[in-house]
Amino acid sequence: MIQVYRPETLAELFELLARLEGERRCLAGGTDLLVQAQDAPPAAASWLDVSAVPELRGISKEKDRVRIGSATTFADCAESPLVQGYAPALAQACGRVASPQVRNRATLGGNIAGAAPDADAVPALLSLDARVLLGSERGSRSIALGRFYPRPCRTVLRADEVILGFSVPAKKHLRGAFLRRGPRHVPGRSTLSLAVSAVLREGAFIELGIAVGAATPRPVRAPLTEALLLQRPWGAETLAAALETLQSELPFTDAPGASAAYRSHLAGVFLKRALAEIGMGTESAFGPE
Amino acid sequence: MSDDLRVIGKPLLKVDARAKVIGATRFADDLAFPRMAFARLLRSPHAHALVKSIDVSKALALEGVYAVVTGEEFPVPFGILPVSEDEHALCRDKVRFVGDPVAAVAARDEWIAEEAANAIAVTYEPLPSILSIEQAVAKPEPRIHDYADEGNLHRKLSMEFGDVERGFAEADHVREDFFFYEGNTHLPMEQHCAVAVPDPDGKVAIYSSTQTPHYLHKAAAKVLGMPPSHVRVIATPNGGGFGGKSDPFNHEIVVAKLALLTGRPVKITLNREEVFYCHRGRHPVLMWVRTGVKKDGAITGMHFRSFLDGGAYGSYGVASTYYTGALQTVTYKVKNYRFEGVRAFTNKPPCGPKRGHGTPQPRTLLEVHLDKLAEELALDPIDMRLAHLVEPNSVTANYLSVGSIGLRQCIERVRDESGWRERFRKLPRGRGLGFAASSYLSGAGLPIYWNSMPHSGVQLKLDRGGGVTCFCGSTEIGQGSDSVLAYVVAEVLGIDPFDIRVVTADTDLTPVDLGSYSSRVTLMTGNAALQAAGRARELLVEAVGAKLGVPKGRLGLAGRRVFDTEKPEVGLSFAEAVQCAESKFGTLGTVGSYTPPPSKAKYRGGGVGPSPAYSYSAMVAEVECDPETGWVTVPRIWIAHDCGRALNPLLVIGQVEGSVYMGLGEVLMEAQVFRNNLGVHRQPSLLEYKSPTTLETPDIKTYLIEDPDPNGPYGAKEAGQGPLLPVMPAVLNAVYDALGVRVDEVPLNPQRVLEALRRKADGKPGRVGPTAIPRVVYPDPIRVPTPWEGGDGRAVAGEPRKSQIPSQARARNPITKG
Repeated sequence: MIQVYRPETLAELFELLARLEGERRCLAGGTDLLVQAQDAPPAAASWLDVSAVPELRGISKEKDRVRIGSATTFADCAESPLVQGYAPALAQACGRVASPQVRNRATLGGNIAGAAPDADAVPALLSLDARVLLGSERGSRSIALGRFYPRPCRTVLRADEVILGFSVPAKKHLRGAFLRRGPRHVPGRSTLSLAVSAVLREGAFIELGIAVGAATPRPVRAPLTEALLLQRPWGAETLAAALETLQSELPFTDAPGASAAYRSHLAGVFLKRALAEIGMGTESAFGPE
Repeated sequence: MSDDLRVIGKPLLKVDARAKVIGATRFADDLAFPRMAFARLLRSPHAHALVKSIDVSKALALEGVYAVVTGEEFPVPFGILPVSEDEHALCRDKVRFVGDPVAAVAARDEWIAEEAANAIAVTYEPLPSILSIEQAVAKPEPRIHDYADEGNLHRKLSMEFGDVERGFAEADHVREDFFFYEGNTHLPMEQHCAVAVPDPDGKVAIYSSTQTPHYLHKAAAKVLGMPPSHVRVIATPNGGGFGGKSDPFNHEIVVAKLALLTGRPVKITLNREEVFYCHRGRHPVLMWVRTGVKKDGAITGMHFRSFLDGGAYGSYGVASTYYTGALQTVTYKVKNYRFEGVRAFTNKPPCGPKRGHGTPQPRTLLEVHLDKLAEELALDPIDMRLAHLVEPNSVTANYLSVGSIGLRQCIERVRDESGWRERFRKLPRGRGLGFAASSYLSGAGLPIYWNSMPHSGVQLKLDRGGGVTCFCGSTEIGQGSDSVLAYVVAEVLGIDPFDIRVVTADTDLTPVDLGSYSSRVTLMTGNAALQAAGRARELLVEAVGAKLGVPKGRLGLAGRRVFDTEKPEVGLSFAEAVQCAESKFGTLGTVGSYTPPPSKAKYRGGGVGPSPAYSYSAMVAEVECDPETGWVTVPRIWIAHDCGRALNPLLVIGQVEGSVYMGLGEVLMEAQVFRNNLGVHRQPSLLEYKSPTTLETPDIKTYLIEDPDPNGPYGAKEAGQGPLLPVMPAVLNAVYDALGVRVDEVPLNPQRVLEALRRKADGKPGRVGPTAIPRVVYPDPIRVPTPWEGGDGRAVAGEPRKSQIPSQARARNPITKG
């Protein structure tokens, strides 16, 4: 039996999360939870419909960070000038998740809480050094998204906690790109997704985040590749070295129709294309031409 | 064609269109009956295991459980083909694939039934499993079935028409190719559903989403141990079939048993995962071909070998195996032909007939092989094919009688419309054009179980109010079979198709039609309807002619009137004409039936391949390939289909487009694949099993070529399956044009394209695909002299089928590294 609650304030939500026992799940867009429940109905669970809690929605700029409420839909994220300006990779990712119907319902918080290896928003947020804001009756805390998934498909979210939102640094002149591809155009699971967020100056990387999703047990940053690109002078040789590093540093996995070797190759192609998209194109010797 | 047709050839509404569009059609799952119980099946978690014991006590003890049945209740085996009745409604001693059902529960609701099914304790003793063709060849033990020709090789076939070695000796050039075609599934929108309703007098009715109510009727009566007259099967409109609902299924028989045991109606609707276990989809086929050609491409000899991964049961597999060798000869002249086929049992869901049944795999290899041959001979692949087309009204090396053949017009049309001459081999890197042609049956010439009765029957009842009821056993699976009946009857009787009530697919009410498979329905029910309607017309003109004093030959039927064609104002309304005829002859009813013409193929195995008429298709595919990622997209398709005569061009175009869509899924992404060593389906859900969407569906230009066939009603041939066949090879050939590499494997996924490019860049052959086939000792071939050698369609050696003597000739011709 599933009990559904509809708190109207954050305090009520916290109180319910603390008081209820057994499985507690926040229900936002329902595009994941309802499908799961239909597949394998839980014997007993409490669902907390968060749609009436105003604090969880919306996008705002607070000092030097942009804050996105966890119950903000993909469609709202994709269309937000703040997200487009300060988190362009995220805006692109949100605009390409699934189908318009799903984007109008599904929320960023749900995508992150689901902990799916192929959650499209995760690599984009990772590339942006996003932090996750968590709240409960005991208070709130913030944690780097990179530490939010201690193991594949698991989060550090406690049973009485809710994701309040996300924050990313509000950097000027940030560029970003997000690429994904599955067996079909949309909708569906990605074979690989890759996000790049960068600040450039005079043809060099000043700041750089590269993250890969769907092709590894959990979405991950590529720190060695980032370091290489930040340190070496830009050019075809550096790019070739970066692609090689990317392909070797991440634990790519096999899937039907997409081997680890293919995904590793695809990651290289995506990185090259993502860099070209943010203005770091180069004549590359890469690829079996 | 005559222009005086008012219904035939017109783009009319389907008779069931409105009901479908407004959601009024009652599919099987829409049916509900008072006191109805719900059933669930318990399925095996093992790929191969002995069933040691089953304890149902906990399930029976649950509140709301009405009955539990196991294999104990089903001692009688069944199967669609009489030669492979190897299934039980519930497994008795052994399970053969993950998903094989072992027990069933009827309960108050689906949740209780599910809980009860899970409470059944089954003790299994796992056996080593066999999961591929290679394993089946290498491991004769443990045997999945004990009736296989040899070990786990279900069936081994060998047949030779003419002398293929002589053909190779005559050739200027000989080429060999290997190919692997992965299995895939039908993916109908509607999941299988059956509802069984008991009668107070001990009879039972089964409503089911089946394409073959007649065969289900036979199987259910046999397994239930009841006279067929006490079992009624009603095929509900199918929400798509594509061959996946052509077998009698466990769940259909199980709900009938549960209904009889509980005295309640019992329903089962399979979930999507279970549909993947029912399967009966495309066989994975490993193939090899060697062809000898003259310099101009004339085929002097062809030797074809296929290895089918059959899955756990026979299903249609023996026929599927023959089909992988049957239709190579009906498009281009083949002077000498040899075919060897092997079907293996494996511990996976059973394969069977999917759209094109056993012919898309060999057609794909054949058309790719010809593309390669044309290049080696420095011939345009289209010109080469055009020079050697089978002649109309001819007999092939394997004694298939070809009547009309519009293939030349098909080929010329797509060649011209696609700009082939200007664009083939001339597009920039990454873009390409590919060509393929094909042919398919308009109905199997022989029934599935041997009998000499008609394949299709139609009964008409004429009503005094001017309505006509048309009874036929045919099954509407979305293809328009109900509409075809209405169109034919309306055309003959001069009334509107919507004046006709079509009652179909009910074994108590309708005359037998063998079912919606093998593209047989339009041709066979159409002919039966034509005969029944012609007889009704005869009664009407006889009576009206007498009443009006007009010679009956002068009477016409049109616009709901029967009238003097020389003085159209003299006549009766159709209703008056019916009343007039009923007064004269008594209650009005006529029947019509159809039996295909006898086949010329008199050799063993000659039952697969003959058809009253063959449809033809030709296609040019345009592809765009990304050489860095291996992605292939198909922006444009030109396809021409010779359907003899389009009874309704809209429906034919719909079938062609649907076939193209399905073929693109097969060539680009679909694969029914399993976890190694476990036999667990990797993607038994619509989330994971990828099929194209509208976004992947290209601009499809369809051209209907109408070359009426004398055996078809108004000249009609099939359209439902044939147009799928050229899709895969045309795309593969286009990828070669775009990138200069060959993916000799379906599906062509991006990593295979990339691997081929990599090999080419490394200076190796730019190809991925198999390079060997397993060594198998074939039986002595059935030898049949070709018509041009003076043969009469009979074998001169090699029969009976099961030769236990290994042939010396075969032993020294092992296969073979490419």
